[in-house]
Amino acid sequence: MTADMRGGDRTDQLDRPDRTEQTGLPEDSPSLPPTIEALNVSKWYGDKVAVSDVSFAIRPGVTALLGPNGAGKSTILKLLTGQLAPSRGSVRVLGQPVRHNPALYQVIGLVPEHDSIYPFLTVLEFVKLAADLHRVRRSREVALEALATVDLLDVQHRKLRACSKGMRQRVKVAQSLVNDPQVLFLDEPLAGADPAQRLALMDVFTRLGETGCTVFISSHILNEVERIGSNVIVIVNGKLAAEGDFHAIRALMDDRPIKVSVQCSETRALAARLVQLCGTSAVQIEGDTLLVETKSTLEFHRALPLAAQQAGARLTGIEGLDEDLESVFRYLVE
Amino acid sequence: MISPPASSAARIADRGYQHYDGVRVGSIGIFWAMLRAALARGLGLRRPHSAKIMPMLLIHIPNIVVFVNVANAIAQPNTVTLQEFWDYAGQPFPVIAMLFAAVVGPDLFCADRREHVLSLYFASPITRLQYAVARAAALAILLLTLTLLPMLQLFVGHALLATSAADYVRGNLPLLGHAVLAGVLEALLFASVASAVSSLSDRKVNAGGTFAGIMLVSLTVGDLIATNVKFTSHEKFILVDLMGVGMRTARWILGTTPWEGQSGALSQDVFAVSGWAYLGVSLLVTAVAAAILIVRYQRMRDV
Amino acid sequence: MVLDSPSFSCQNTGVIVQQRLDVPTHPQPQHVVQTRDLCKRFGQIQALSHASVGIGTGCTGLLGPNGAGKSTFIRLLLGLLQPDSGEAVVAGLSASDDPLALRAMIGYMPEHDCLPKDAKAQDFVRYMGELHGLPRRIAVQRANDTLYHVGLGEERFRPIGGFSTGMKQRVKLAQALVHDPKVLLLDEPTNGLDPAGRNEMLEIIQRIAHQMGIHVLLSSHLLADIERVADSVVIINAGRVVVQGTLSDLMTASSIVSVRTQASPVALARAVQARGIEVEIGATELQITYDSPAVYDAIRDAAVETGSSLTYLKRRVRSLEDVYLMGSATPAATASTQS
Repeated sequence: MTADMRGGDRTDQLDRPDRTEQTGLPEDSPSLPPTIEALNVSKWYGDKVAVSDVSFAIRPGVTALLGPNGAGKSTILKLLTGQLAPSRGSVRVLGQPVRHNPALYQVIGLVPEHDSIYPFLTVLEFVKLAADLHRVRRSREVALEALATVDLLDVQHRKLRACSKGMRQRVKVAQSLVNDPQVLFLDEPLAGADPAQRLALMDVFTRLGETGCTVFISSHILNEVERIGSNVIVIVNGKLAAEGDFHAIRALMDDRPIKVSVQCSETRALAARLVQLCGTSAVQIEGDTLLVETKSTLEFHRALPLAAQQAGARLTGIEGLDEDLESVFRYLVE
Repeated sequence: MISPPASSAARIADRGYQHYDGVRVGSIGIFWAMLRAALARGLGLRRPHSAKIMPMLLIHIPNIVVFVNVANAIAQPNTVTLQEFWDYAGQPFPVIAMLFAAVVGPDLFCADRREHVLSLYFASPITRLQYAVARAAALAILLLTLTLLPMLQLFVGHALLATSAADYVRGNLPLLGHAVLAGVLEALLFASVASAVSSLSDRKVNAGGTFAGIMLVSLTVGDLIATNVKFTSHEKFILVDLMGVGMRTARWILGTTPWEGQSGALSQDVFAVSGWAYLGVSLLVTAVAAAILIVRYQRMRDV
Repeated sequence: MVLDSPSFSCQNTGVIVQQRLDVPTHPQPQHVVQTRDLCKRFGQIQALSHASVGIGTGCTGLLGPNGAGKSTFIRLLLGLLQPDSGEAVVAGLSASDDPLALRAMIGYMPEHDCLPKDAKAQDFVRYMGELHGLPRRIAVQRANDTLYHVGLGEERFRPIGGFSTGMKQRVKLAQALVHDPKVLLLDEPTNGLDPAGRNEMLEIIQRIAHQMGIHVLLSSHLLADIERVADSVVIINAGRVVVQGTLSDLMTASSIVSVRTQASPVALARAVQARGIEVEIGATELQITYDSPAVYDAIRDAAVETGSSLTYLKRRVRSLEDVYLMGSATPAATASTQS
């Protein structure tokens, strides 16, 4: 099965009135003012449109920026950090325009994707330098604290050129923390990190999000993003595809039935009963597992135990298959 | 379901991945493949046109010179003998060859290191020695088209213009030998030194500039000291001139003499230096450079 | 693999090694890659210490912290480094005695960029085939086919410099496959790929390992990738092999069944407890003690009785993450100082 199942234009779906309403603020959002606001932002280079009329608002906590390669994510990140000026529209961080605003850089942290370190400095020197540049007092202690957060205290005196890619990535995270930023922009911060380091860093980001920092992460590794937070911004082809908690986004996709896998005995008997439920749109039998597609999740999960009991089937596994972030993302991109 | 008619014959071919159990070539075949690839790269083939400009230009300049000379010989016979022509107008050929080595040598060695393609080479069933030798040999072969081919073309041209080609050839055999020997020694020396320099620097421009610098400085310093700066044994410094050492070796072995029309000591090209010294320097420099190249590649880590 | 140290279990199953392996393992006939007591030291650092590994059919994941010795191990397998002691054998060829013949049998997809900008994909993959011993015409044919199998269409006639990350990764994979290796060494093959590209790459790797009959060794930091495509794992930490075995053996089923329900779980929990089964009420789910399959029936019946929905039901297995962290916690591992 090849991957040319990416469909054609899905903008017809996004243009439906009920969809565009939902890309505004969710009703139950807390009344915190947004820390990052993009309003009708577009960026083009000659004939090439990198970002097209994107608007979103991000609040404290962890938010992930997702999108296929070439969709405009890195452009958006650069627009949000003031490295690029929008061709149209405005970007405000903490209520202020972000471009040419040195005062704002004092409270923002940035971890770029590619190497931007000085190889001849040691780990500690580099982080302390960042602290000094931000005019942080007691820069050495602050640097050591940041290094402790990313678990690099034992190698503080090693020259950066002798550090592995994963270590350099952690150094970059440490230097972004020295000024205690209110907003932290991270571009693939886990690149090169081994599994234990990844878990540790994810923990750092989660905790930062909980303490009120706005953590904005661009990443491709969706199962990790899921663990840090549920709030996402999805960009496809330069446009905003979705915004908000991805569970809620999934719930909005009412044209896509939920897929549930049910492992059981007496598959056919149970299948027969499940088919009779109104919400069920399909039941597939694969060995000892039923793959059920249903339009009404709750009704299904409620009816399942009784159906199993009546069919004399033992339920050994029940799991939703397409409600995780990877599935939601896939549906948005198709 | 309707059953198919009994006489139908149909099949679905397997387009899946096929294993290969056939012949695999040995070391020599692989070396030959590397050599071919290096030759193609040196000429800029299978690459964007910008990569072809310098090599092609440099290769065609001697052809133009040969064409002009032969045309001249046809138009005005017996004005300048072949020997005279070589000694006078043939001087630029080694310079052009040297420039070619300065452009193509670094391209053959530095690019693979910078783009980290070398890591794939070393993960293949080749030795580092095979790699270094294949690239350097390709450079030497390409240089022969500059140091040797034009001379042969000239010789053949003049032979055909003479009254009796066979007599001309028999009478001028030393000239032919001179062309071959000088051409080969020059090609090997340039290829070897250019490869060695390219193995030491990762940037093409640095390597090319350094190589050209070494050769030109050796030419200038050697000739200057040997002819003008008078102190004891100053003539021995002519050995420093790496560009001319191949030609001088050939002269000594084959007894060909410089053109009397030239002025100054260079016209005599008779320095108080033993012929063996020329040969020795030529072979020694070539060997040392080759050794540097090979050792460098054997010791290379972190490709 | 029989080990006489007390913490392990039986022959041919996954084992978690908590002590040094003193007993050399016997080469198994189905192991295409076999190393025995491989040791390698760089100056002061013992990069690899008595690594004895057997890699068989399908896909084997290679895991380990940065600086633990994974790349040293890979280089030893490729014959790029000579071990201080011990031996590595691939498809019957010894890495110390026949490095050239061995490299002809291995396909290697490095982690870093290694493609020339100017060359066309088809030309480059063809050349790589020739470098591994394919005659020219065969190399042209196989380059064409391999590029098709990895999903590169018309782009193969364009220079590699203009390719996206995903396309470059495919070319890297194609050059490793073109000469029909017996063993494929993949180092972080999903690096830089977006979710769709990663999915496709993993599917290709699945096909290679399970349908094309090529033994795959997949080195990666992404546990999810390994869980998805690998059949066994080898975990290296601080120069030692700390875990080795099949995923099905290592990811053992625990004695807990996790259950989630839509509304308050209290009623369901009580109903299950009433059937004589221990239940622990967690933050998001119920943890029900499993001692026999009858537990499933009890859960089902309790759900019917209380009118509860069952949104999730699964017997917990040890995750690869748990396996990895346990392996990293061995006394030999002071991982952070290494990396």
